[in-house]
Amino acid sequence: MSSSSLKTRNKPPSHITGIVLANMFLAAYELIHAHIELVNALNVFPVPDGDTGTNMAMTLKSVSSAIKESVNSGSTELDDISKAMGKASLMGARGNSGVILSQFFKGISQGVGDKKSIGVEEWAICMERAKESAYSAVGNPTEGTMLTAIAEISRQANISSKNGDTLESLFNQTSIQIKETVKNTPQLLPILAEAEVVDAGAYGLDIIFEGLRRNIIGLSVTDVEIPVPGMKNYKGFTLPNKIFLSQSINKNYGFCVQVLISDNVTQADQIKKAVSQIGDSVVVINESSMLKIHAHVQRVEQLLEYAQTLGKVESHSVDDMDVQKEEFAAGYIKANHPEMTSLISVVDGLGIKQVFIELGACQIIDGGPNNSPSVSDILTKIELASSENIIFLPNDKNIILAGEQASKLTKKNVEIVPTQTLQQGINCALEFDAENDLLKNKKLMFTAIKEIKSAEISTAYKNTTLHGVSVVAGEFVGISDGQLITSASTIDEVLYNLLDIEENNDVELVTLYWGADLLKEDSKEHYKVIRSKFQNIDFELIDGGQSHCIYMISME
Amino acid sequence: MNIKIVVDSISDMPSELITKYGINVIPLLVRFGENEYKDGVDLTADKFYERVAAGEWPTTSVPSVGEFAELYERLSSGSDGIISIHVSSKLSGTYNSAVQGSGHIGSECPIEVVDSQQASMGIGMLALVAAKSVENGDDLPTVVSKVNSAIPKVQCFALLDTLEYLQRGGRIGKGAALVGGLLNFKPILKLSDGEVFPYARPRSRKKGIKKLIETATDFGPLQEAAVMYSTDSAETSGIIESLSNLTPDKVEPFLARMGPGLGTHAGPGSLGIALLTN
Repeated sequence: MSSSSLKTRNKPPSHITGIVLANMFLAAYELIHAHIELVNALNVFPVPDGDTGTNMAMTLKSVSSAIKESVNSGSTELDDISKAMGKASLMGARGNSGVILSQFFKGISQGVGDKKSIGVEEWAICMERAKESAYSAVGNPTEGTMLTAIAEISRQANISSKNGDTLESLFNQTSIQIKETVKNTPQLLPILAEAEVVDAGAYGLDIIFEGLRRNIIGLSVTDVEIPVPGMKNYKGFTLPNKIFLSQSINKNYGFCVQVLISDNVTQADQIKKAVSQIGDSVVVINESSMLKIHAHVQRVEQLLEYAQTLGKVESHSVDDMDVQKEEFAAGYIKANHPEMTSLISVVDGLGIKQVFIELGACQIIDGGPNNSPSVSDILTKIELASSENIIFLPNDKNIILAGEQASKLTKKNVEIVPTQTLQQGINCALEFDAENDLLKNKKLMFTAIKEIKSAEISTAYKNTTLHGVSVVAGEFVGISDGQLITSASTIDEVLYNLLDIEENNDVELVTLYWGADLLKEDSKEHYKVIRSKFQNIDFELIDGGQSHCIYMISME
Repeated sequence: MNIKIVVDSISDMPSELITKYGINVIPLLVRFGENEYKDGVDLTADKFYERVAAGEWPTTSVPSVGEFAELYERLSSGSDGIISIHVSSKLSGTYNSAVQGSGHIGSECPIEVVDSQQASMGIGMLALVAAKSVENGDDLPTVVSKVNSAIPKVQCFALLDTLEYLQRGGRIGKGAALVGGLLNFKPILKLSDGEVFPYARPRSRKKGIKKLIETATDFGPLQEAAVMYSTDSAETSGIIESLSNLTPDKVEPFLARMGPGLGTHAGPGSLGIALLTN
């Protein structure tokens, strides 16, 4: 390297020459490289894929290689260096942030033109160009990102230029300005506020400008950490993306809440206005003194509290939500996107309920022994469902009739898929797609009913002989497709006997739902034993929580 | 008419098609940590899935504006036009980079950049439409118009072993509805309007494969079809056989390997079908 090559200075320069610019961006690269992981961790927009830091650093890496190449080959003039930087950034631009950054370098190169040295005034022109290029490069400019930071950098440069500031003061002021901008990004871009982060790209730019500033005023960039503006405790903040992702899953759905209220006297318009403050997709229907409210909300209690002020709450669609909130969200309707078809299912047990909700049921009716739902129970749920097209899964042969009667009492189109067991119901619900029409759903489900075999294990209450099997009270019995198959004194034995006859029937997957009367440890033990005995079959163990039998078994 | 066709490496186009129609493939970049590779150029699918299996975590990044500009510049000499067909702009910045790149070239050669709204052989189906149109002697506007009108006719489905890759890569979209529940199933996703949507929830791979076949049958008869896989080609044989019956001359569908770029988001154990319907 020549004597005019890359080295640190003691006094801030008055002008930016080729060598000054080179040194500035080499420092910026060193600093951004040291912050890659932190910038990555903040990346939630536009795609939460955690690579903004890497992309910005890779883009600057390509710039810094070009700088070194240019200097080593003797081209140290400002115009040569800025052109080389512009070209290198274009070639090396990675990702969205890289593309925007490359436009920033393009702006510098244009602003420099064929000058050999520039001052604050020309730097302001460079930044103006950088801003224009950056905004035009993005199809859909979004504020609260790197773009906003670039705009603020340009604005500050203009102010400094008008004030006749020194380079040192320009870069000090710019850094202060960027930090303010970064801090404000969540106010401009709501997704950042939701993820509780500032914009990764804007913070990346803050780091780059810290590098430039430090080089100008003669401070080292080695082992320097640039705090994230506006964020505390970001250290140890290792995977916000994961947190954010799980939030974003919920975000798409919200809660679909419907409330039936009697004795209402408030005007529908007024209610609509009030509910719109709480949620969206608001529908308010007033039928004589009966009121139906539908809304997509984030906080269910808020809507229910309001509903209670209107009259007597007869029923609401979230009345039996007792499994975890995030597990519910997946089954609920997307905000602003009503379902084409709604699924209503009768269940027995918390786990079973959760399975149906996860598979998209918007209304659940609690069933189980001694708890057969009435026609009016079913009718209420049909009326509460958001869609005019309803698939009803009775999951018990004794409920099919009540379902048919309920379907005659409503104007909605109801298709009853005659599932006789919860296992069949689950297999049908797996086919459910709220975006499909009623007939398509029905068709797929009628096929699905036949695709699995349902079995169960219960306790015998009296001595009997059925289908040639003699049973002693207190023994465990195995029933398959409604037929008594086996009885034995241990659950293990019944389970074994039930599966033994199926082994030659191409059964690939057996799902065991353990009931409310069984301990988790016991079911795990059964699961372990049965898996070792039937190694050609895949087993799955699920906490069904049903009360009608010890094990619900589906074989397919 | 000398019209050049460009696709990106996310199209997963098999080499026989690339050679037959002289298609130009611009690679995306696949990274393991700070090591960057050109998708399918200096990183093969085999090597890629081997590293993924060993626990390394890949990411992808789009070809730069400059790389596009360079390719277009090179292709433009002596050509009457370039059609450049790319992965859905809702899933990747590649389309945007291509559009930017097309503005950076000096020559007069017209360049049309098309957002396929697809991925994998869904893009490939459109490249085939373009290739046949070029073969037919059509001019660039005709080729582009044929490709654009074929976009709604392309159907693309994938059976994944896990949604983890799609989720970590941030491309899961509405497919998130299929994430994590009490009941295990193998997710089938659909690409529609350029985005990922949930499609079906078969409880086993065998049922999933059956569902892919049924889906193709529902859309049949087909103009063209392709079967894609990431790691297990043996699983495609049944699908290939069934899809053969859906094309006019019982032509076997194209078999395509999901390359490192697509594999970063689909993961090992993925199967897919891409259909060009009538």
